[in-house]
Amino acid sequence: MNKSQIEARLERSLRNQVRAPKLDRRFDAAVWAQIESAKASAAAPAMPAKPDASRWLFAINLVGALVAAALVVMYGAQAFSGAEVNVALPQVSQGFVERAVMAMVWPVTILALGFGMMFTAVGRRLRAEFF
Amino acid sequence: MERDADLLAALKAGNHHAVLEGLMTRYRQKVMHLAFSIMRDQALAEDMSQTVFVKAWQALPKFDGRASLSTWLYTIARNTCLTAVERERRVVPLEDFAEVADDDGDPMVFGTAQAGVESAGQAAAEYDVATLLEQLPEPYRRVVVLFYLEDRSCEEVGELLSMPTGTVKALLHRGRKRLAALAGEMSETES
Repeated sequence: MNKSQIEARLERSLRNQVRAPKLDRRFDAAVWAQIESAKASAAAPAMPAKPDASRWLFAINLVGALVAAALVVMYGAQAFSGAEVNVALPQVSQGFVERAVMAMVWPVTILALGFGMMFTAVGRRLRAEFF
Repeated sequence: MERDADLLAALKAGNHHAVLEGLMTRYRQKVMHLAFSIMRDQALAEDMSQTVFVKAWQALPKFDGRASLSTWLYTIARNTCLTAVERERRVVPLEDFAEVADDDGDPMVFGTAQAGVESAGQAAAEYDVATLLEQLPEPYRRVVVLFYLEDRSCEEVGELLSMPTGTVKALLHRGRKRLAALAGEMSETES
C-alpha cells in the first residue's frame, strides 16, 4: 500500500470513527440535579450537632476518669512517699443502708430502663417527634 | 434563547436559570467535544461536561462580559478538564505547544489522497483509529480529534482550544503526518 492509499484510508477511518456521544435534555437534567445537590449540601450545617448518646458517654467517661485519677493519686502518694492517707468511712447503720437501697432501687431501675429505651428505634422516633 | 445577546440580556436581568438553560442548549455538545478531546474517555468527558456547567452556574453572577459567553464557557471547560488530567499526569500541558511554526502543506486536505485512489478491497478496510490516536502525543491528538468532531473546522477548533487558527492548522498537519506514519507501520504489520 502506497503513501496516498494509507492517507486516504486513514482519512476515511478518522471521519467514520472519531465520534462523541450526542447530548440531549437528559444531560441538562443531570446538571440541574447536581446544582440542586450542591445547593442542599451548602444549606446543611457544616458541623452536625453531637448526638445525645455521645454527650452522655462523654459525661460518664469523664466521671470514671476523675474517680480513677483520684484513686491513682491517693494510692500513688501512699505507695511512693510513705504518706499515710486515711479516709474515715462514715458510720451508718445496717437499717439505714437497707432503707436507702430499697428507696433507690426502683427509681434507678426505671431511670436505667428509660435511658436504655431512649436509644432504641422506638425511643429515637419518640425523641425526634417530641423533643 | 437562540443568540448570545439574548443570554446576556437574561443575565443582566438576573435570570440565571434561563442563561444556564440557554448555555446548555447552545454549547453542551461543543463542551462535550472539548472534554472528550482532552479526557479521552466518553463517560469521563460527560462527567466533566456536567461539572463545567455546574461551575458556570456558580460563576454566572461574576461574569463581567469582557469575553464572549462561549469563550468564557470554553475557558472553564478547558481548565476543568486540564486540571483533572494533570492531576492524573496523563497529558502534557497545552501551553507547551502554543507556539508552533506553520508548516508546509494544506492541513485541510490529507496529502494528495482521494477516496477513489483505493481499490474496492482496500476501501472496505479501515484503521483502528482508537489505537492510532492512543500513540499520537498531545497536543496533536487533541487537535486531530476536535477537528473531526467539529466537522473539520480549524476555526472552531481554535476557538475551543483558544489557539490561533494557524497553530491549529500546523498541529493538524503534523499530527496527520505522524498518524500516517503510524498507520503505515500498522499496514506493514497487517500484510
